[in-house]
Amino acid sequence: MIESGRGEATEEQLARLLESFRSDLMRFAFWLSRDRSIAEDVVQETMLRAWRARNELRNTTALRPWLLTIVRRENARLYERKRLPTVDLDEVIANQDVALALNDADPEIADLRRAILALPDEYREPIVLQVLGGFSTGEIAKELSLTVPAVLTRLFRARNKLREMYGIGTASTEEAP
Amino acid sequence: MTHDEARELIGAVPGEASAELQAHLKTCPECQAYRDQMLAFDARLRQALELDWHKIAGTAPPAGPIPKPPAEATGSAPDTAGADPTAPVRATVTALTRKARVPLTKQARPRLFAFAASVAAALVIGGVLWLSRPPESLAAEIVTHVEGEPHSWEKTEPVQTEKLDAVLRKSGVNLGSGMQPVVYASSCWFRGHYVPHVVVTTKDGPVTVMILLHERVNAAQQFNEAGYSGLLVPATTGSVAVLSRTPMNLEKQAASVVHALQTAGPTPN
Repeated sequence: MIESGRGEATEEQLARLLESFRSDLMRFAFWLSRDRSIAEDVVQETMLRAWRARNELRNTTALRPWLLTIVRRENARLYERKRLPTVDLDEVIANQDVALALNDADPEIADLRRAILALPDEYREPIVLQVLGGFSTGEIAKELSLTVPAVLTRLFRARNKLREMYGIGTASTEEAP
Repeated sequence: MTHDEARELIGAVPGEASAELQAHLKTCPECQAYRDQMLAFDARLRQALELDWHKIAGTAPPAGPIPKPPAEATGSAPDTAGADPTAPVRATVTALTRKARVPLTKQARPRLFAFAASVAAALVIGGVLWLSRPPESLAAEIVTHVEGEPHSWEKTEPVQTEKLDAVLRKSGVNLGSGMQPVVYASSCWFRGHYVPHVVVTTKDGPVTVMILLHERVNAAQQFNEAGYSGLLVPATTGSVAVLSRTPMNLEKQAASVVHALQTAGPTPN
């Protein structure tokens, strides 16, 4: 039995709970990897690891950040293990799956998605962790092995770059800490 | 605090404002306007990041099976009783990371292949079992979520207005009049969005309400699952779910929430 708030979750409930996070994890993995196949591999591995470690999970309220952390680390490890080459942005956007992701009835959202894909990893990763993952600045710093001021700088610059690419003026102060 | 310092903070974390930043914003309309812009931009950014994964993958929810390796493949878990609730989670992730980086010896390889084979077999069996289950519905996910917060039913004291406003604001929801007193309010991650999860008191007992702006239903749906009675109704934007643990007129409760949504003013900032 796994604690769920003050109650307990059975394995079946945990399985359902895990499954309910799948789309969320896929989305997160996709923005990190910019590749649907890699995202699917990463999420499958994440699910497997989560299930194998289920007896160690004492509180299901911590499940989501835990899963997202595994996704991020699996993605990083996959790149490290496979020595995946740095991809050209035009190739990324030409990818059919990515093109589907970019499509949206709202053209502004489609433009913003292109801008996010074009962000360098050092900026895209913290902004995805913060906005989509709900991680605090301190948690991002710990996860990326950075200082909190460094994370603040990256987040500030990431938003400024996105706003530039999106066609909005940036903050008057470009020199971040 | 200088303008530059204020803008760096706002640009990094638009949704948070320390006491020092708040004091600056009160005296600086330019920085306040910048913050408003950044908050609006962040809402668009969140919208852009929240892809419809099923559209990309070309699948219908739910996706593939939950991996369910056999019990013997998982080994026994360490005793974590009495530990910090977050500690086992972090410890597990660290342990997994370290384990995967240990070089494999020749002797370890056959065991690895055996393990991989058992996992693969379990995935196939698990997949067959999973596919034979009825499809996961929105109602089932709502019940699963509510089961995860059992303490919410025990609350009796009204929630402070500021807290309720913060929960609603996080999801872009505003409520007008007509709601019963709220005794529990939480901003919960559900199907890729933060949604308000509140409990109201009624003469028949507590009722859980989830306001699901991103979940559309065509018509009211009643459900009974795991001891909960529930009703899912369409709202002007998305839908509203109400649940109780005791028999009662949920239509009336749902109607009062829908009315409160319809009579609401602009979303609080």
